[in-house]
Amino acid sequence: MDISQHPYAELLRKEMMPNIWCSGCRIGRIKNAFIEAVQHQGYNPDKCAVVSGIGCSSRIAGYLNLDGIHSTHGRAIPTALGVKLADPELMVTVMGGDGDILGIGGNHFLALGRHGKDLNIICMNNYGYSMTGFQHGPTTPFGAKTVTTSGGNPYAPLNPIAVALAAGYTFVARSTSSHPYHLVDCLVSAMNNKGPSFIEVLVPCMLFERRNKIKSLDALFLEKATIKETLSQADIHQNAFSEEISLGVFRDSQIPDRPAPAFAKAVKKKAGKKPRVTFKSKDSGIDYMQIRMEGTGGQGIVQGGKTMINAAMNMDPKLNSTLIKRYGPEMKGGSCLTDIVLSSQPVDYPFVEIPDLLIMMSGLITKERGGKVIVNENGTVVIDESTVDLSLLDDLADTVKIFKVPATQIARENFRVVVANNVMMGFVCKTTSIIDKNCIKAAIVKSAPPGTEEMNLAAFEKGYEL
Amino acid sequence: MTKDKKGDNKRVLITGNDAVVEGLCCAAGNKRRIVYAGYPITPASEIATRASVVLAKHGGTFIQMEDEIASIQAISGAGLAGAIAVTATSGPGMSLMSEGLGFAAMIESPIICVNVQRGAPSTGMPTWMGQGDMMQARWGTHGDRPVIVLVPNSVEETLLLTYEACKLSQEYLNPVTLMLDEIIGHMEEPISIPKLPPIPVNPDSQIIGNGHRFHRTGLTHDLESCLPSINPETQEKLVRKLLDKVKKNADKIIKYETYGSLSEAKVIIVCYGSESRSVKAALKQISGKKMKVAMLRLITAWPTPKDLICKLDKKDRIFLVAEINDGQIKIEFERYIKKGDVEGLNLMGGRIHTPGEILEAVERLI
Repeated sequence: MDISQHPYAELLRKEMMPNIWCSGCRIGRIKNAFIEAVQHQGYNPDKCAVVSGIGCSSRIAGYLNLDGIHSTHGRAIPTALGVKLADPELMVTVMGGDGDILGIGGNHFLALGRHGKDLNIICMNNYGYSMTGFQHGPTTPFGAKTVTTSGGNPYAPLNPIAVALAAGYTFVARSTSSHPYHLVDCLVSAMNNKGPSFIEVLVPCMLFERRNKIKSLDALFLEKATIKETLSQADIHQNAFSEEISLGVFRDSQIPDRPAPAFAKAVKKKAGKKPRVTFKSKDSGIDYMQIRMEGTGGQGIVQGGKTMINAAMNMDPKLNSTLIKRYGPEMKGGSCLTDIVLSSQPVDYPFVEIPDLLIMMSGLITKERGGKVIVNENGTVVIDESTVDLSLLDDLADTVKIFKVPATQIARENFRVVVANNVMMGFVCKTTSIIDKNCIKAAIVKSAPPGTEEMNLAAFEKGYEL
Repeated sequence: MTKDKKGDNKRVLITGNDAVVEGLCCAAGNKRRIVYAGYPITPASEIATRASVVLAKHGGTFIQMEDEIASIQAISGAGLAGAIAVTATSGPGMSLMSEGLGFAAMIESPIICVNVQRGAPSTGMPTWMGQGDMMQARWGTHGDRPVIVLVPNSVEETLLLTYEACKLSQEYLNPVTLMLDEIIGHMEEPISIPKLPPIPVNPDSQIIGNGHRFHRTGLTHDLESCLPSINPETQEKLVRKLLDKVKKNADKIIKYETYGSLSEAKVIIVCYGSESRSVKAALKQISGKKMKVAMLRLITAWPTPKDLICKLDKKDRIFLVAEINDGQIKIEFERYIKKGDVEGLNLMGGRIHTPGEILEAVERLI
């Protein structure tokens, strides 16, 4: 008979035959069961993709005449997930062994249950790493002999069904290669399930048989395994061949509804309308200016810097600017600074070397630097006298303009401490008049968290009126 | 895209990390699906944050994976299924992704991998910059693979190079790495978001689900059928073909920026990334002094602009390679410079040189 007349010919790559599997291996039956299931479902083969990892069973992907990826060891599940995300129309199946899916790819196996995407995972459990000569793997039975456990496996085996159930797979079943009709049934049900499906298929490996003096695992599966309509907690258990093996579907449930991706955005909209501040843009006449705002984390140093640069952009849209923030790993309490460079030319070096305007909300950075305040001789220092030790300013040149304001104290007494940066900003605006008042107010509205605009503006006005 | 009343592009203040996502949106238009799979890591996390909000609007998909290995594998699959596939990470994540990058090159999946470099090795300085991953970007996989690496030095260029990376990855069906550093990633600059034509799928590529029924494998495979064929002859043909994609088109891929006259320069300062901003600031400071100094900024770090370097090689000319590592790109210049000299100006990370330090180094050499 010509091979093209074979009922599976449409889904097989003839040029890849004969396959690489050992005689006595039953992985081929699982491949055939998969083809039966696809044909039974009437899927368009162009819309079926198979992704596999590395190992004996992973070679199935190469023998199927479908879109297939033979990926790296253990990474079949994430690769398949990528395919599914790029084209949700596809029926994507992962073929892999126990070492591939449960060993090196264990983390991906767990995560898929959580992600809940519609992938079918077929895990062919042959109790070890066969392709490399049969080393022990995650499912090797206790006491079993392998190349790397010649005295018997001292490690307890992992139960794939228990893990899949715990990980949240919506379809979980166990079958064997010796029960092909049951296997096809399981595959069909897995394909119909809309969530992540997991089938553990027990499959004999002759390397394992030989080393453990088992005559035929195929026969043992037929002898010990029973297909059950309903399964109980006790049926999950299976880690020795001397015991009964329960086959069947452990779970076949609906995937729960999940929030749509744009959820986070919708909540924000409820926060209400932002107050409008109108401002006029003009040529600022700034040629090159370095501004530094420094303090401790949690004082709104980065936010204050953002307000400053947004305000500068409002005032003169042609102005070039950069903003760089520096802070340690801790979010609150560590030293923190924001560097802003405003320039009529493109800004090259984005750090402030000698600030023309220094806004100090704490003395922490200066103290870390050895107590020296760095500022341009003809520059300006605006200092929060409620938080900074004023003696730090003693060494400054007489030409430096110094303005003091108890910004944090004012914020604490009138509003909340978090708006101290805007009290400061109001005071800076009044004393330095670098940037127009309304430009700053518009910037505050833009960057303030929804619902807090009014308080931030009031803080700014308070600072401005001082 | 933000527009003011006149319809002109208004300038928006965004970070380099944000610009990556904007660049992806430009490349996708409303035509292509973007798949972003990533794992949080400082200083690249903001890319994921923005992607999780913005991509849904562009018909894209954001997914936070269980680790970096899963991230790169997911986008390798997504790339083969016709999406603009991208991930972003920093040095430690990049190390985990090495195998996946080699795999993507082998199966010719067009993916984009963003590395926002931190001070390294190991955990290093997550919130401070470094440029120590330049050689990893070239050699960080087992075996030879074609490599394209782009290095932006501003927020605007980050957007443009992200777009360019999408284009190159489609054109050469190969991973493209975009090397930011913490300064570029976190720095905010006002930019106007350009309108760029969406990047189409390479018509020569086979897409999963389009009826090609092709097989892709990380094993050595036949050029025609893509089926595994493990012998020295196919290996020779396959790897040469992969490497030639970039080797033979190096002229088209390579981009660089110069400042000052390279042909007259006694000292050429070679730099890339945020360090180049310092170099340029330094050269601007001495522009009136007629010092024979020029800047060569690599925009494409790999492939190396070998022809250009050989052309510039001259007796008594000094190439000062300024970088924030122990001289990784300097090695590449030492390979090709035969007549002139190569000097390094290095910091181990955390900060870039100040313009003053650059000038000091130049003055020492002249």
